[in-house]
Amino acid sequence: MKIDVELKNVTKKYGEIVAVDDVSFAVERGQFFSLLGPSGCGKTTTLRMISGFETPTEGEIFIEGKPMTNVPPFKRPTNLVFQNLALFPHMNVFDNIAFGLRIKKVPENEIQKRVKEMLELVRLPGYEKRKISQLSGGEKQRIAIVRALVNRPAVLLLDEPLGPLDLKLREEMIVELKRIKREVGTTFIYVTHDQGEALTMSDKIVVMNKGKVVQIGTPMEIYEKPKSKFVADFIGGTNFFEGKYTDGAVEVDGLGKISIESGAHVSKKTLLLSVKPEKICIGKKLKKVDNIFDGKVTESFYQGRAITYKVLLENDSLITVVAPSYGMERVFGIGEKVKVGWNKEDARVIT
Amino acid sequence: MNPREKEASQSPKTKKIELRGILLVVPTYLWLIVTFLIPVISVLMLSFAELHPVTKNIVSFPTMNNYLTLFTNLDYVVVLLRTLLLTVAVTISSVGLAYAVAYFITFKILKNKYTILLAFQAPYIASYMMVLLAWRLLLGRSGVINSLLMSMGLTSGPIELLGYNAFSVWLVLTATWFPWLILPIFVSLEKIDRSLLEASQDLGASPFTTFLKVTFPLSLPGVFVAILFVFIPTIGEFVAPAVVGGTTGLMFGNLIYDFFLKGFRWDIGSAFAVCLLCIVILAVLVLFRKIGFEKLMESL
Ligand SMILES: Nc1ncnc2c1ncn2[C@@H]1O[C@H](COP(=O)(O)OP(=O)(O)OP(=O)(O)O)[C@@H](O)[C@H]1O
Ligand SMILES: [Mg+2]
Repeated sequence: MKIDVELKNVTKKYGEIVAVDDVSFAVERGQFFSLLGPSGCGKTTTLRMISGFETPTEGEIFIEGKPMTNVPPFKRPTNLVFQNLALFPHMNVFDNIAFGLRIKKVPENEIQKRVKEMLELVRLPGYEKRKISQLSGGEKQRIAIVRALVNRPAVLLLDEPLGPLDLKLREEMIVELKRIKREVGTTFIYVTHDQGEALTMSDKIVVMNKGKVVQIGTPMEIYEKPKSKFVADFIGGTNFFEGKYTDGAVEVDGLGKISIESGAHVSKKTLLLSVKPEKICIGKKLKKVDNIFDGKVTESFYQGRAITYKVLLENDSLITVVAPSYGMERVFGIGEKVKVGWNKEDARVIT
Repeated sequence: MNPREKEASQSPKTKKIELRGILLVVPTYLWLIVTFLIPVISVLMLSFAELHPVTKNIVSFPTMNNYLTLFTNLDYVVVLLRTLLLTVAVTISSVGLAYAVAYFITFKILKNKYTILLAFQAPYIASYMMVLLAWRLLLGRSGVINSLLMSMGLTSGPIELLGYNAFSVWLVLTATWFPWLILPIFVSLEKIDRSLLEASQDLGASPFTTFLKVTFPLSLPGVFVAILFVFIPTIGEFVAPAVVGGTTGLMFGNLIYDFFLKGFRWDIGSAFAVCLLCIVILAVLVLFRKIGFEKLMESL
């Protein structure tokens, strides 16, 4: 596999503030690669270093195998879709998209052809003469993406491009982005704080926190096998149980034994377990489930596709359960006594 | 107004608000008519009349004689051409200088931007007359600058260019105008979203190309305002040429002034003033058309 972008021990400091702390990762050619993390974790800074607007304090960045130190932004084979899009307000759609090609002195008939192709790619044919102020949010988004893509960069960098869109439009754009990615085959590095977006689109995800890389993996690995408390909690939320490990189970104070998969254990010490809310079933009676506990519903939120319950267990811990509304017996009321349970393979040992 | 807003303004409610807006503007317009239109119309009428030099009675009306006086006398035409040339020169140099300073303050100065901006306005604490008189002392064949240069032995005789002439008028007008022009240019430069400049570089434009293709076009509204600010008063200027212009630096404004207050030929003076007004209107119209004023402002 060819590596398109590689960061080697990259650190960025602003005076005392360490925005990016010893980050290393490699992006393979053609990958949809996501940088995921909470606000302020250094995603934008990382992207700006790749595109050349910031210089690393330490470490080095390679693009297509070449070191990028001392290469100014306008000479890098990357193109960035800005967090605020940054479309030129004094130019129409055509001139915006043609901007990069004109700088590169591409012949005018070739420019015409490529801009047309791009507008077709994002399903906005005939938009050439539109002014930027005449575009909707979603249309602007697409124009910003093709303004970068038309230059055929080695790597396309996207900084939370779906941030300001409403939910419906976001979902549409996610599908759209995946399609565009498939059609052009360019390497994408996508920055987001939205785990849903990252999980849906990515081939690989880097989870960042406080400037550091905390886990790298496929969406499934990140979601199903979080390596740290932070990742388990940040990606989709989770329920934690802490207890002592004794033959095949974890003994939780006031709750009892939670059986876990053999082989997943560590030696005799305190263990942290993570159980995802949607892996927990809820009902009056539960059958064929490895771990079953009694609880009391304290809150319930009906959300259409699913119902989220807060359930108080006997050890006074509050857990979150997400039950699909499909095949559901009924909605449990607040104060109702229920049983909750999960299979042993769904409890992940974190530490 | 962009097209979306235009559509919105069709609703009855916004129409009502529009009407209220018009009512608010009307008194101001009336004031403008009284203070601007009436004098202008009087001058216009006067320019087509011939007055008796002593009694000031109207001898004939309408007549083109006053205008003929201007265009048949080569001396007057020369002054008019000199005035146009000087005005264009002052406009270019002062707007250019102001642009350079505004650009520097906007993009290169990180701390205390606004203090520095304000510091450039400091000269206006002194009255215009005071500044002009100071210039009169500095310039001139035997002014301070020339005397200093000669006493230091840097030149054997006085530098003629620094005497009282058209060059000095240009120098003084440029120096007094440019600080004032920094403000509108600064405002439109400061308004430019920095990510647009980064986007330009990201798309392969060098910093210089970015300036030509993004920064400069987006700062045009400020440049436009600055041009109006300096062009209109300069073309009618008569104080600076009177103080540092000598005989070769006189401007059209001086002719009008003399006709009104020295020669008591209000009719000829009026015709000259009307010519000046027409030139200003023409210049403004051309500028509006050239830049596509409304379109330009809209896009920002
Ligand atoms: N120019 C700067 N000067 C000082 N500190 C900065 C600068 N730019 C970023 N930082 C700091 O670096 C940290 C990382 O910022 P960054 O913009 O990379 O976050 P982010 O992950 O993109 O966040 P968000 O999701 O909110 O966009 C933040 O704590 C921020 O305050
Ligand atoms: Mg960011």
